[in-house]
Amino acid sequence: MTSEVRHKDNKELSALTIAYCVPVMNRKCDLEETLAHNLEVVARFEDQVRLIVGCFDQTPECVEWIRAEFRRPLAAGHLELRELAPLPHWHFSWAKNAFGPDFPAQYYSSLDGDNFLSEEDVDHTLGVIEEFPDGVLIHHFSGQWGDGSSGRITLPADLYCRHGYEDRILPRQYDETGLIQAILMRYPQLPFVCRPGTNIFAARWIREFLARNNVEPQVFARDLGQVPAPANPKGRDYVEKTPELYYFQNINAAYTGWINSRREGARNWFEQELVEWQQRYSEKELCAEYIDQMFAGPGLVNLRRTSEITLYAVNHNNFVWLQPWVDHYRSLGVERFVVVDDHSDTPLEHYIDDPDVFIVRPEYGSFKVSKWFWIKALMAAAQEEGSWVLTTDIDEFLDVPEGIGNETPLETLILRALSSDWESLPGLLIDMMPDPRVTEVAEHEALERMTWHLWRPENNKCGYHDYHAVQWAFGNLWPLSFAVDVRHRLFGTFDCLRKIPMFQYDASVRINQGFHALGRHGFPEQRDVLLALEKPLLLMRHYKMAKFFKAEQSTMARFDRQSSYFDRSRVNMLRMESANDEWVQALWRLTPYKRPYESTREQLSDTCIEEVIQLIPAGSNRQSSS
Amino acid sequence: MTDKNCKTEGSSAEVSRRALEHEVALARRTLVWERKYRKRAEVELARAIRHIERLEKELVAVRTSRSWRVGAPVRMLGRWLRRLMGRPIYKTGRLPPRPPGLGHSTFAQAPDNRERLRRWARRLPAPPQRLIRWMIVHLQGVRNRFRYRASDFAKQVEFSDEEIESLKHAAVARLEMLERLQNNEPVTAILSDLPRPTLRSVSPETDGGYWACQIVQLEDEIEYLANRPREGGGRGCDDI
Repeated sequence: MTSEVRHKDNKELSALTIAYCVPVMNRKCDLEETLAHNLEVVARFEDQVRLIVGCFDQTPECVEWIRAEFRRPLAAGHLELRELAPLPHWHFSWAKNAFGPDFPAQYYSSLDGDNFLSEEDVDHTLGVIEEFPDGVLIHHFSGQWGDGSSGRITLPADLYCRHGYEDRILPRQYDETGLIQAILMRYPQLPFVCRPGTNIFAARWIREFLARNNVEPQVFARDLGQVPAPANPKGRDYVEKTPELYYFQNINAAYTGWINSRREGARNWFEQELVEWQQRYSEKELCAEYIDQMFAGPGLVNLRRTSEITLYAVNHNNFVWLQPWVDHYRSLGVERFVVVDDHSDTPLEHYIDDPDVFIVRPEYGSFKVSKWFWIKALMAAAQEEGSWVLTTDIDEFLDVPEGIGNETPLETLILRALSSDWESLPGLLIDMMPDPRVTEVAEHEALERMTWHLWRPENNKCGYHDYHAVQWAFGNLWPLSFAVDVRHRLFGTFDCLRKIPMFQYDASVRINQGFHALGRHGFPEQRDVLLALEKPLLLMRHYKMAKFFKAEQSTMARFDRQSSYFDRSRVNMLRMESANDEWVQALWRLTPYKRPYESTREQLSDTCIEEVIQLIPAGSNRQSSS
Repeated sequence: MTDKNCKTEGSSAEVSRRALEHEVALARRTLVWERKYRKRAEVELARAIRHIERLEKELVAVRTSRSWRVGAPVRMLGRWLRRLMGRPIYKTGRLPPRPPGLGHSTFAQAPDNRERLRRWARRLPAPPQRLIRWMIVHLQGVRNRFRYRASDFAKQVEFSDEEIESLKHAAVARLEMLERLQNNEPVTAILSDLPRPTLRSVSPETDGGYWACQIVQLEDEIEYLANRPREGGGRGCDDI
């Protein structure tokens, strides 16, 4: 019975041409001014047009008011009221995307709560839709910013339902242009209609987007009729005058440009712009003020700005390592953990509920371009300038020298760094391998059974030292990396094994996506500063290789989310994944260049870089290098 | 009941006391760090100002020197040539390369105008046309030499399937020899007896390069094992 009713209802409604969708949250006052007027206009096109109000209010006041005041339009089908789950905060894309289920018309048209419709406007829009029977994208922008018209677009409902607004952007600004970009990129032949004399494609971001992706939209100028000014006009330069909107606008523009670009050059350009804008924003106090617009999750409630030694990390579905990882760092003296749960299948708080672990979920950006920004933004909100922070991945275990007296190991290390004027401490990533007698390692026992690592003498016959990632990270200290680079030995890949796991926080700090580098005040810290010879080299155990010695070899990909990494890392992962397990295991079993990690730790954990270099065995070919 | 309440109150007071102590300790440490940090920032600022002043003086001295003025036409020609060849006017090669993961080169390359230049040169009489052609070819080499570490990829050498197969066989033969050595089994052949294909590239980015690189590393390991003291055992390399 119910399905019949719904079917009948849909059949009736499919005759509708346009549904004007009005999302509102705590905006009853706007609706009081506009809704009656707009319904009058809609009633004149009763078979073709409907107004849908989506209400996100927490209190029933607005909904009850609409039901009481507009009983007749509701009954006649001119008005549809949708009570939607309240949003944690106002977010244009989320609100505008909420109309997708059971969309009743052929065209979606966005309308703000304070926007007025006019008969002329609706009539001309219907005329344009009739003129382009195969579909059309209409932008109702009047040419004047701040009058509420730039956000108004009309597009085929199936495109709206399929693509929708980009919902991983910051809560305001650029949502409609992002959608226009996405649609034009996918359907460049779709006619784009705007008012005569307006040209949104002259605006900087979209101009760059079209030029760099070589998209030439089919633009048609049509008179879309006059509309009254909105109830709350904002003024022409409201974006420039409101700092948060200024940053939201530019970050969203760069992000949507990056995510919608298909050409490599365009993606790179937008990515660089995005890095810059994210960095600029993260240096402002605004970033801390609006942290709740970037993150959600239980950890955000109690997160305060302190000088505690804090470890920041991003985790996605890495449940096995979480508790041992926290325990390890807690024993070193980490006082607080801020973990970004990058939308794990099961929320991380189900696995760990300790009071010093703050779990937050990002609502903006993606891992590939925003990992460092998430961390930097959280530091801005939770870290006093001058205090020390750690950044590691969830499968990386740092080993530091013992603490002196009552001090924790990290306190001793930090005090040593402060007295030596070091602002950061470098780490060397050591891929842990199983004991040579072990052939199979289950993931949960990796910490106990992966106790060896590669330790090979200097050898320049493979051209390792020439490779640019190695040169960039280590320069003449390349034997440090070569000695432990088991990925190069087994798979022939080049990864950067230099890490900067500890540093002193200040707002200008610039974090690298893989924590391989650091910058301050707009400049990268030079290699000879990061790897100053008198600094201790922190050893970082890394357990990625456990995947190659799993007891049960599954057909699933060994490395999750390969597409979330940059080209070099992705290619390396593919290469490692396609390697012959038997060959890899035999190489590891037979190479004489390996040793238990415990010996390395004893020997190197409190040793400065200069001494570590001396401790690396000289190869048989050292003469040939000279 | 009362006891329980007293206990609860007592323990909550204890918790508050600890929390306050913790806060005080934190504040004290923040203060220490803050002072140190400020002091160092002030020192650095003073140092930076002195450095800038010195640089400023040096810059003025250089720009007013006779040699600088004499060199102006050469620099102008250099800039013109760089622009023509589609390279940035200033030497970006001196800047530190970007770390992996932050995208590609910091400065976008200017458009390559060589084809335009070539077409334009066709209109000229033969001698200048030849000069421009020579210049394009010559500067192409210069351009490649200075390009941002493009050589990493330029080093990749194509291998035929037969070559890859023979390199693979050679690597497997060396692995077998390594296994015999590790197990202290008698090794009948010596390393130089094993067939060794030509290693045209040991850059492991290609299949052939990977196997060539394996050959080099396995030979190194064989040499090490063959020369180690017999009684030293041989699973690890604590002794090296």
